[in-house]
Amino acid sequence: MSPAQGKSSFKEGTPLPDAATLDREFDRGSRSQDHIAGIFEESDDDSQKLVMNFGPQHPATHGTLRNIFTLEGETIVHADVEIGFLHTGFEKLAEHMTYQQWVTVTDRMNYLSAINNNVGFSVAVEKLLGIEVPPRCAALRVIMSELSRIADHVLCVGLQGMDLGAFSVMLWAFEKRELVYDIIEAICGARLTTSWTRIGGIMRDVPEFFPDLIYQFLDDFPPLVEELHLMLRGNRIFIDRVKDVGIVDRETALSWGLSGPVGRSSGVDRDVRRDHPYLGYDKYDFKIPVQPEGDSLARYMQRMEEIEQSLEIIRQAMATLPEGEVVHDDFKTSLPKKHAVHTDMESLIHHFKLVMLGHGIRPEPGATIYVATEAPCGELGFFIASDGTDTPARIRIRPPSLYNFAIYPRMVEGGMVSDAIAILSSIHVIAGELDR
Amino acid sequence: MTKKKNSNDDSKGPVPSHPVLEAMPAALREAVLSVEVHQGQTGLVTRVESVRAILEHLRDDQDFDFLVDVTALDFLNQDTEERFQVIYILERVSDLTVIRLHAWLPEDASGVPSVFDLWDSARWGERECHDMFGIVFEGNPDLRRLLMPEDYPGFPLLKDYPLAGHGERRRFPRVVPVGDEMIEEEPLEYPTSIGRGMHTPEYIEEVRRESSPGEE
Amino acid sequence: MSEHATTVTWTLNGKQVESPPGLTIMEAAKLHDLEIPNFCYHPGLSIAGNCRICFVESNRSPKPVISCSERIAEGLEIQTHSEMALEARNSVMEFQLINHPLDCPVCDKAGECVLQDHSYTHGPDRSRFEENKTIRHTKKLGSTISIWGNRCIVCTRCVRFCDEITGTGELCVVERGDRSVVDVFPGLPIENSLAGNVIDICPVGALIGEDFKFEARIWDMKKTSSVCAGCSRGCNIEVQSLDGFAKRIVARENPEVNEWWICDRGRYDYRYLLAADRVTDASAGGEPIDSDTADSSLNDLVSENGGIVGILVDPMMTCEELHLVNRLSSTLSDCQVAAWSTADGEAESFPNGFTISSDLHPNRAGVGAIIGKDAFSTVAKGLRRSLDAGDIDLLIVFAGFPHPDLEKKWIESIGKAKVRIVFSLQSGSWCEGADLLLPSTAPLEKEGSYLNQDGRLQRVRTLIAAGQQPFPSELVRLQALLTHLGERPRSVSSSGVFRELASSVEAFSDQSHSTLGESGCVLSSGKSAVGSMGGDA
Repeated sequence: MSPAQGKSSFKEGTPLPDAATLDREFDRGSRSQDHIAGIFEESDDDSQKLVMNFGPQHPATHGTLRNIFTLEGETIVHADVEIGFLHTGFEKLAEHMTYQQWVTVTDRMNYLSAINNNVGFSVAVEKLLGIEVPPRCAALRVIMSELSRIADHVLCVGLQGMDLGAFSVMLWAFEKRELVYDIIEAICGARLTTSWTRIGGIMRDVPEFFPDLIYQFLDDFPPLVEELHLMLRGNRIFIDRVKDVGIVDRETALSWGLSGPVGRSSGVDRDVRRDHPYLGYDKYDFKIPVQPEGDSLARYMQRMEEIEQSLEIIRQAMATLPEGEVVHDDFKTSLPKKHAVHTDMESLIHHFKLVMLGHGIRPEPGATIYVATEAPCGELGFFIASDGTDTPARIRIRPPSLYNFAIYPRMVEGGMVSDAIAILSSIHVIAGELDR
Repeated sequence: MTKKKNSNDDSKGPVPSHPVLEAMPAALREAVLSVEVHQGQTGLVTRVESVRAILEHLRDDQDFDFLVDVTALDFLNQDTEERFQVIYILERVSDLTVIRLHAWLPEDASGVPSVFDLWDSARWGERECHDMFGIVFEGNPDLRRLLMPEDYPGFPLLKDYPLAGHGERRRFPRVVPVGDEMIEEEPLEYPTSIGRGMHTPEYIEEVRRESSPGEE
Repeated sequence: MSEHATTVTWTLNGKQVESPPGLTIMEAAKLHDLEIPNFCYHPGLSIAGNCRICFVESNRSPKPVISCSERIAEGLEIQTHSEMALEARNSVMEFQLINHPLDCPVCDKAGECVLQDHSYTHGPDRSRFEENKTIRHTKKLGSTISIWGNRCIVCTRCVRFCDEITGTGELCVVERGDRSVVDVFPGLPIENSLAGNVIDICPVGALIGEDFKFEARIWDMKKTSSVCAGCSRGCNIEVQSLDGFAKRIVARENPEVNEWWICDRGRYDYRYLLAADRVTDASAGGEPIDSDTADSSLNDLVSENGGIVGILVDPMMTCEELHLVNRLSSTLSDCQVAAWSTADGEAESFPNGFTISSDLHPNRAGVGAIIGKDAFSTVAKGLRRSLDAGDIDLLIVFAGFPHPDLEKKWIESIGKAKVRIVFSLQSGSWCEGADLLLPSTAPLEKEGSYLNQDGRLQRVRTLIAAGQQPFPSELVRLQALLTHLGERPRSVSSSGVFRELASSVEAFSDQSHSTLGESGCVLSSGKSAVGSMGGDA
């Protein structure tokens, strides 16, 4: 496989090496530990190949991932990845925790946008139990999810800049992210590990100053989008480094299961919010940007446009925010308010029954459900199987980062090391979600 | 009350149908044992022998171009005939149909045919399924462990694998500083929660064996 | 419908089913895997029909009928989940809770409370009651039982228990209307030997046992199925423990042995586990030694002894431990094995057939079957004579009695052995001056099996988690000793020892730990395998 001149050979129109060749390459020396970094490998021609570790400790790997590159000069001849450094057994824990307890574990997946994980899981369990959340709760969940999405995309773009050398961009992005974190802290009580949703509702209603908070944010935040565009989109060096780098065409993206901004920037027009709406997303009028090019610049543009669309969704949701309860009004599935627990007999009993180990919410035995939501990284799905007890039989997290990252070795082969970094930061995998 | 969850359980009423099932050729429709519907979602239940044919048909003839996920369920101690179910979640992007295929897999089966050549997302999906359950996907070119270390001796998501593991972490050889040197530590033979050493390794092994289900 | 019909055909939820005649709807539905809720119904007591939660819809009546007392009949159609049945049960639950206090946070029953369970499954999720709740008394009904009257739902299970099972009739319902509550006559507290069972059968947390009050939450506790070691009846119990400490013993159902009841003696028989007198450390000649030294000391004392050995077993030992003693005595060249026990207690019997045995040991029959019929009598006499004559060079004594009440002459004779190894639970005069004193496991800490007075072999299990045993059990120490003597290559678990026992003693031959199950198994050779119940020499 001859190295192309500085560009990845993964471009539409260029014939790919056939699957058999690629697979033979993978079978060779299959143990990652055989890749001992720094070893010069013997090869048939006069070239010398260097096996290099990129990660797991590296400022440019997003999270703890290990890439093993076989280099010939600056060109990557063969790439392999090793993940699992952050594997903590979330799915195994699910079999020993009740549905209510496991919400705290979901925070730790995509830890940059914990609310999306909480919402995703709660929507899945609510669908399993067949309950609907009240409209105010749905709107609030939408607003907080979009805020969380904005925070994630801003961080991605900022880190994309930082990996390519634009350090100030990252700092400006983080400064504006603090606005989002202030709101999240005011509403959910914590910045990172929010555990905000409950089955049938949310932890508690928002305070009275919530509209002021959001409208102030909607005023303060948009200038950042302009700044980022100014610093990056108008920057010759940035464009040269990301344009036509890491191209993935639509057919490949579909086959490899790419979703979210990475998928949409390759022309795959899928967005769970529009396709399988939940929490009343079909009431809001927002565009789903899709870029046909599929290179890293497209992924950058995609995220920037999605930030603007998220701001639009927040504006609409705030304008139509209904009054009412924020928890589904059935104590067989949702916790009663504390006032009721302390004064009302049945509420006390139901509180006990929902919380005590061995008791609790018991979905129908043998029921299985798969519910996807749109997380900032892509389609975050929860496949829940119930065995009729208070702990699930299995919760499978469909991690968008895993499928987005699977294609990475193919994308970087034939390219240069610096392109590999640009590609990695544009895919924006989050190791917590990758490994779970 | 647990009745034997037989793949051929026909004591329910009329089998619900689904347009995807209707559009299948008769031979494949026979291979689908039952249709499970819950909250508007449909799962087609079949056996692992028919999985490859059904998935090929679904991709080629019914345009299911997106493999959302590959995973498995372990039914140990739940009184079913086969122990595992391999689950494929598919989506047709053109009209947003989502369908699930549940394939019963007996514990002593040699493996499941891999579908990496139909959808590339199956490469890592099957890899993780193998890592967590030990299910071999025959034909997958790269069935190494994904999340666990390559030489890990267990498959974590099996129901008889305890939450705290079997002490594998203690037995991984570690290199520790002793004075000025780095010495490779002797891995312990048994978990340290058993103290004072009066329980010999053989005794512990015997106790573990006796207390696991299916003794004698 | 003939009078001698063997089955009755009736309809349950639209499906035609057949059941034996004479059953109530609730019992018949249970045979078809359908549990109908109940408070006042108990299979061991008469039918009261006062709680009304078991309402079902019947085609024979315009109003809902209670399934605990209506009998099935040919052509009866019962709907348990129709709108009328669901609403009937819902309303009954609402009524049951209007005067119920908000005690769940402080009530011991939370987690195993039938009222909580039925309220969640069948009742409304909020209250419509705006009045003040009735206040009833909280008082002691006896030395071990108190009643929190606010919680009582007047199901009368306890009243019927004292009338029908124990025949003593101490409890009654006083006052009327919403002031009804269970009470005793002034000056006549509830003091019968089966009193603790009312705590088990009370569906709510009204009757509280003083020993377990505020001790632990049921969901935190580890539950171990075992057998009571208080007498030779071997009633089935469940030991509930927290962090290795036994907190409570409750009855476990076994229709063949104890039905649903246990006596108070066995119920409260866990306090000795932490008694101050308990031997916890090994010692040699009065000086404490550590466990490893104790093990090697045991091995050395036995293997270096070339003379006459005597072993004195107690009937608290499991069959597996007795088998290991047998193996030990065959390995040693000149060894006699005898048995000793404490004095008999008082037998008691009750109107429903429940009896408390006078023999206060769980495994006397096991000793008889494994060591020999005469272990307590002739052989014991012989051993005592040898001891008094000074012939015994090494004496190994097992004294795992929780309540040792041993004869003085035995204790004197024991002291005359040249070398004395004692395995003891409580410390006492038989431990003093022992060349090696080793702590013994208590019956609740043993893993093995007991043979009861009717020839039923039942599993006992240790409440201590694997690896948390503070000192090696006799099973481990005896096997280590046998390994040291070369009798076996390595130690095995209690199931492995039982397999050896099954192959060497004919009475146990078709059994294994798994065939014993949860209810035990009567040995096929019946009582002939069981040793004599005679007292000790």
